[in-house]
Amino acid sequence: MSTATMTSVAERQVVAFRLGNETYAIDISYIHEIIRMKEITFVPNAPHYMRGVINLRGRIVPVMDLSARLGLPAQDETAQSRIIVIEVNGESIGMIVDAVSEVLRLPEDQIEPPTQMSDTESTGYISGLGKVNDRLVLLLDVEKVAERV
Amino acid sequence: MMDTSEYIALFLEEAAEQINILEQDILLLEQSPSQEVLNEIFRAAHTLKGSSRAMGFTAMGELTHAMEDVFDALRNGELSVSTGMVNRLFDALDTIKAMRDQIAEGGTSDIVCDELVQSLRDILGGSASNTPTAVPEPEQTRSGLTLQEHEREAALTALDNGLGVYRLTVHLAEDTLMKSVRALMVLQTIDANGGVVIASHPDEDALDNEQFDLSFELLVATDKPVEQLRSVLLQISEIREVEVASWQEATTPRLAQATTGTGAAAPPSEAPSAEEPVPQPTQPATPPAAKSEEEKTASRTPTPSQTVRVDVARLDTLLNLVGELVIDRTRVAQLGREFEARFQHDELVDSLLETAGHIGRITDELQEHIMKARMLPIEHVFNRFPRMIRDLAQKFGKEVRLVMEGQETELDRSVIEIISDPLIHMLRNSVDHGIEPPDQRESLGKPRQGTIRLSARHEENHILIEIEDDGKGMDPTHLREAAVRKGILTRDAAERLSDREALNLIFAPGFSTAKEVTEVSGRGVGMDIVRSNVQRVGGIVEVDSTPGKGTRFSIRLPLTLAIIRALLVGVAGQVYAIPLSSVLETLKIQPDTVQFVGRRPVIVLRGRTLPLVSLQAYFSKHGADITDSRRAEEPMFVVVVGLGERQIGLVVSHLIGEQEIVIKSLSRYLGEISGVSGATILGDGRVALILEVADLFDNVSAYAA
Repeated sequence: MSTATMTSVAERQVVAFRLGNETYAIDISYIHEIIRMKEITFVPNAPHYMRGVINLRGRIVPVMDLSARLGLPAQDETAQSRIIVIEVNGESIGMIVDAVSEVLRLPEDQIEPPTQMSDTESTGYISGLGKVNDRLVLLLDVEKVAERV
Repeated sequence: MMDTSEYIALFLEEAAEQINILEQDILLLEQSPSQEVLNEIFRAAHTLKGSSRAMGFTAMGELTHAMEDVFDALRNGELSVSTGMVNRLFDALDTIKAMRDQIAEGGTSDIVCDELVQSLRDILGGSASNTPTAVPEPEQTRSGLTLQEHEREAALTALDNGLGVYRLTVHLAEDTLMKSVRALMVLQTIDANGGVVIASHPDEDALDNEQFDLSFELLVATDKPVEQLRSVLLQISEIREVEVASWQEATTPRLAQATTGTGAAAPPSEAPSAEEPVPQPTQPATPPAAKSEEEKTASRTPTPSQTVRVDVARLDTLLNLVGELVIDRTRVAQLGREFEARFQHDELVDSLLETAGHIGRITDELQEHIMKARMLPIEHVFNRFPRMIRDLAQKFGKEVRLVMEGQETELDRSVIEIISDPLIHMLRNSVDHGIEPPDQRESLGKPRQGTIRLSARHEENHILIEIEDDGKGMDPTHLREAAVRKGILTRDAAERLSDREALNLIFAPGFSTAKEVTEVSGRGVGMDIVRSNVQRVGGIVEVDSTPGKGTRFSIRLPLTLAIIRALLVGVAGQVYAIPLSSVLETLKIQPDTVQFVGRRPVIVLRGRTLPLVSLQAYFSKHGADITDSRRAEEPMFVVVVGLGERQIGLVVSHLIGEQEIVIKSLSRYLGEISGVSGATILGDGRVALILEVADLFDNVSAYAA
């Protein structure tokens, strides 16, 4: 924080969303669109965290349960649940989240590298910690989440 | 040197075409040299020479020139065809091919061909007078466009056939850098627009070599308005002006000529009488009637169909878009029906339905036409086989005649790409293992020359490709023994196989009937790869053989891979699509007819045991097995699917119906999913997975093991 010598500090635009009790965020440049839950076609013999595929205006897009991917406890689907469709390396992937809250501007100097959190396997998928109004936002490492197992 | 990159692509395409023509014609030359073939071959070599020189690829130009000289000598009867000569011509052609490929990759070619050029000149050596550059050009020093007898005749024939004949004077801009390229483009443009160049001044060779000032004259026959041709020509850059004058043969009374057909009644005019005594240098004397017939076809054949080259990726995009439209069409029709149910007899609903119907028909047509645009004649694959068979036969010391039928049969380019390798492999097998050596054939009372027949034809919604040879055939007994020896089957199992099933052993992995592994056939790509390649595109390969008589392979392929007909079935609340090509029949059975062989459920269908696979169990991680559905005392639905000779029954919750579906790939992110080949979008917007039937069979045999 104290290193900021310029009048304007570089900012990162992120989309914040909720998974369980925590707030996560994804760099806005990855986000293709955010849609309401829709019918998901189950794909057999796929990794356990994959919920299946959806029809996104004629395209077949795989959808993962982000909680399951991060090893978090499963959440029930609610009216707030959304599918965030990201685009990584030319592939579209949908991620189910509990709610999408807002678009945030995170000044770069407010982002810290991930600390050794006592937390679970989700740690490996966090690229940084941001603070907004004393709230902690976990920045998701999208590339890693999208890595095939 | 000016920037030629904009022409490179054009040049490469054209070179590929000419190389192709040369390859086919050299083969024809070996089998049955005719004046017609020689003319065509000469033309192809000539065009290739011209364009490679114009592009600055001098080595390629040299080599084609040397070939052209050989063809010319053949055409003039100074040489006759020999196997040695054909081999050398093929060597030269292969080198040209390699040069072309190098240019395609890196823009230049560093292949040296001096020796080859020399070896071609050595062929000519016999006739010492024939120096390499001596392409005989009668009346080299014509001033202005004066016609030779055969040119004048061609022009008259064109007029008789209702074509327009025009004298075009093409003027190039003063600072034109590569005049020969422009001249070539003019000739090609005329060609591509249905015009035929009858004569030019200076002649085409001189045009190639830039031996002209800033203008040249052409005599052109065309059935199109000449203004149209002129405006197309003016679009070529650096063409300053094109003067057009219609051509009339003033000296010959045309009316008289037109009536000479009946013979005696015609007044003796100069032209016809002059015609007979003058021996044509390239054509043996033929009766005038037959000749004019020949001229007619000659002036017709060079007229190409009106075509445009389109990038394949663009066609693929179009097809995808149409796929979307097909889905939406179904959706709109469905909405229309829902509206109708809700608001009966409403005018708006009626016109919605009407429009939906119209969109439906248009979409169908659009789809059909785009599918057709993606079709290529199977020629594209077949073309290289004659040469391949010739080389293989020579190598194995066999005599083989390849008969090809149905080259014009069209199929989707994606299928063409996949079918090529399996065909090559099977043809190799036929030459290597099928056809016997000539002496052996003779002692068996067969003709020394073996015949391989390769044919393609449409059969319903499929294309059928057959490879048939009259070689030694395959003996089921030998195949059984080999399978036991190689540990593929136990002796017991082998004995139980029917002859037909025994023949199918050649498709088993690790099975090769060759006693010794040869360089050609024993490359590790066995018939099992052939079969799996064919199956991957939803095809079937079958074999039929009679010992001593020959072998026939039949490959049945779908016409396209993008849109298929499928049977939709419901399984545990989801919809799955089963390609109709593998569906044999559907059954409704009572649960109590299911029996068990070991732990495997089967039913008996017309005396045959049919293994059952529950799709729900197959796709469920927590293995709901077939007995689950037996608990309900309701009837079960079974879809009988076939793969080659094998059949299994798929147990589904219910049958939905037949539908045309657009195949979409499952996301790469999901990778290969066993039992699923892709997905499709249904009329209601839901996603249905497409079954990969072959995987289900693998799974059944895994159970069996």
